[in-house]
Amino acid sequence: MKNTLKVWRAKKDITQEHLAREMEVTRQTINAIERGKYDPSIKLAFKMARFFECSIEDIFLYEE
Amino acid sequence: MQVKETDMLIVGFILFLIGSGIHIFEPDRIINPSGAGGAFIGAGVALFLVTLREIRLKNKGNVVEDERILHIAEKTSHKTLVILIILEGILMALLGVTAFDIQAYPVVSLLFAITMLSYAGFYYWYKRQM
Repeated sequence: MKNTLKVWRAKKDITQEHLAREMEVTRQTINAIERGKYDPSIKLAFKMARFFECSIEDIFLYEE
Repeated sequence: MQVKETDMLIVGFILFLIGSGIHIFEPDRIINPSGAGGAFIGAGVALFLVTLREIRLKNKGNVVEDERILHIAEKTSHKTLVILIILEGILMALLGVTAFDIQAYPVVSLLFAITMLSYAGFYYWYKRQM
């Protein structure tokens, strides 16, 4: 699964640490998601979409 | 400090006390007092240190455990369990065929060491992967 989390984070001008605190996860988790090494749960994806005020599909792109 | 942390600190202290008791009094029923005592003391101290680290991180406002950590632990546990099942199966078959008369303590200690090492190894490996 690809994602544009880094872009959204840059738009809001926040650090991984800041986003991690908002999402109640570790900074390493945000880093792993950005690098495409970890796919977040649907709950975390919704939380991110709500935080960035967009839809899940705007951040995450599922490719077969 | 939450109830969970307090409980873990108490359990750590109790394990340390049991270990120290075994070391000091060396009861006759225990075959290897230094080994058993050392194991209890080690477990107690490790639990104490891990809990103190968690408390420190939580006080700083950091998240200690999240879905990724739990997912890594899940995969690690599964792999470790598979390895243990295979090893125990081989051991059982070997002992059944050869009828070796070996003591339980070294075998259980070896299995314990393998469990700890494979868990730590797989945890580290999955953490790098994810």
